[in-house]
Amino acid sequence: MAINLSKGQKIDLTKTNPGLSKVLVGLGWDTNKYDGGKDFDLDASAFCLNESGKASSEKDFIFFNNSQNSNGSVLHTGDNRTGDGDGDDEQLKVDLSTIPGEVQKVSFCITIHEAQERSQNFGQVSNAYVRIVNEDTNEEIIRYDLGEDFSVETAIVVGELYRHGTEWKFSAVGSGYQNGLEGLVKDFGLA
Amino acid sequence: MMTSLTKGQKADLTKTNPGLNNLIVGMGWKTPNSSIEVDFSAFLLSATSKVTKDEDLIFYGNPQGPGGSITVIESGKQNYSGLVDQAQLSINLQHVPSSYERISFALTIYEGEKRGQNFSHIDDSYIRIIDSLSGKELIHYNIGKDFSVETAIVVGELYRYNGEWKFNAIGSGYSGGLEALCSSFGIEVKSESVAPPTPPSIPPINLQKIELKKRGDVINLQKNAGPMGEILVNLNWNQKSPSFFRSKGVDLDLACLFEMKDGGKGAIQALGNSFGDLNRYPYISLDGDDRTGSVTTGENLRINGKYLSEIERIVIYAFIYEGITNWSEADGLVTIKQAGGPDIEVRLTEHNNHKRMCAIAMIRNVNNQTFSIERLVEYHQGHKEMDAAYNWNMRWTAGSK
Repeated sequence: MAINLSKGQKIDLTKTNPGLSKVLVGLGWDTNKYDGGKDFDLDASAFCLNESGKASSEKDFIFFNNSQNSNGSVLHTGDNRTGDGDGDDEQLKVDLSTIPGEVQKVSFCITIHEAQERSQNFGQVSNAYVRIVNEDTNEEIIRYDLGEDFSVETAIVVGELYRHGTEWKFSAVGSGYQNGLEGLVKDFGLA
Repeated sequence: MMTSLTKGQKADLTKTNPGLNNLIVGMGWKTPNSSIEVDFSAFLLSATSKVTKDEDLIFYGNPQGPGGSITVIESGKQNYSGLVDQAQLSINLQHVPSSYERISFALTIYEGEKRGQNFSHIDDSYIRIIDSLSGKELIHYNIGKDFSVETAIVVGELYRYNGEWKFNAIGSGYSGGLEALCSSFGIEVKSESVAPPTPPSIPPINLQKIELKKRGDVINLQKNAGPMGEILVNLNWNQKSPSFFRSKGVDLDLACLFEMKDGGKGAIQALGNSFGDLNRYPYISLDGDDRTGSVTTGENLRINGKYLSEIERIVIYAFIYEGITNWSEADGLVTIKQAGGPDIEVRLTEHNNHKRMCAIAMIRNVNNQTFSIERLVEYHQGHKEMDAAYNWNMRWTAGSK
């Protein structure tokens, strides 16, 4: 059964799910039902971070224009621009066992594309969620519904996978930013 | 403390204000000129964000929700924090039936698309939530002018979350006006502005109803073996239709002019208390006057078919005795019913809001065998003008009821 996270919560991943290696990070949201406004385009991205919490190179920033990190252990499966359809709108695939040793954590983020221009924020996006699925069993491990925790934010660090000894844990960071993807990129030491 | 919200923002209501139960939801707006008409409404929504029945739309025409949960304040609006809102609704949170998950508040521009008006023309629209016990404003949201094509805006929503009530500042909308708004909430709205033009073909005939759609369309009532029974002429207008926002003052009256075979003439109408008699000359009678339109059955005029041979012709008409002459909003429908025959409908689809009287249908004796019904839907200034149009040749003086 999936655990519904609350902000700040930390949970074991590989310890409670022995053998877990390939995880899928799925992101979903509903299209804009109001015809007066523009569509919502949410983007999922990931940052592979070193000990000092920074990305070592641009390759460590995985997003719609860079579909994978240096060795392909973190892979973005493609951009969805409208949120049409059921289920996940965007997905990232992570192979925990092959993540390079210098990467201490992988941060997952959701941002609203052109939020400022379209005057959009997470309070207007309905049914936005992120979930972590065991790719081998297709079992949903963690789910985080964004709707009630965020409203005026345009970028959210949803959570991070991080090393704890030889295990991987997950922390539901849930920090919101109002400067979109640009703000995050700066925060993580790029650009 | 008052919280100012920005678009998209969500705020706790009952959690941060323990004991809060009676709210006033106030809405206001500024129009640059009087040609822009703004209406407010509230939708009681289920978990799927749809209404479950038409009564879940709260507005002037349907000012009360179930169990006293929501009421449009029509008179006695109060000043809170130095401001009397254009629209105020009172809400009792505990009385909101549990089947309702959210209450959406909306503003719409009347005939916005037709008149080329949208919410970028409207200034200072806001919604605010007031604790009616303390009179304090708790939440205020200015929706701004950041609109381009919207003629209907969902301003904000009260909604349940984990046993509490919260408020979401929405400020998003539709270009299709009230119709689009209603349909997003699952209400079908019949509207002349969006209905496709009627094809000039044979009126669609189903087993129950025949509609006379064009001026001059004629149909004969069904002939049965025996004498004709009662012919019921019903005038109705749907007060709860959302297109009927400004309906409060309109009083549609059903009436007729009659001409008998013996040359006798007269009018049957509430004005002057000429209610006629079904069993005696002129064998036509009018039921009691429905002044408010709140009687869902509308107004009825009856013609005793047994005396067909004594009647030459009848003009059925409706008039607006007092209030605003607004046929387009009244959306009147006349149904002519005859036992054993199909209903015949005449919709008042063409409108002339400058004239108070509408001749709807001409009923004629056809060879003492049956009546024919001809669609008129022609507007007249008053009795004299109508009389002249159909050569009735009566003398008219003003009366009142």
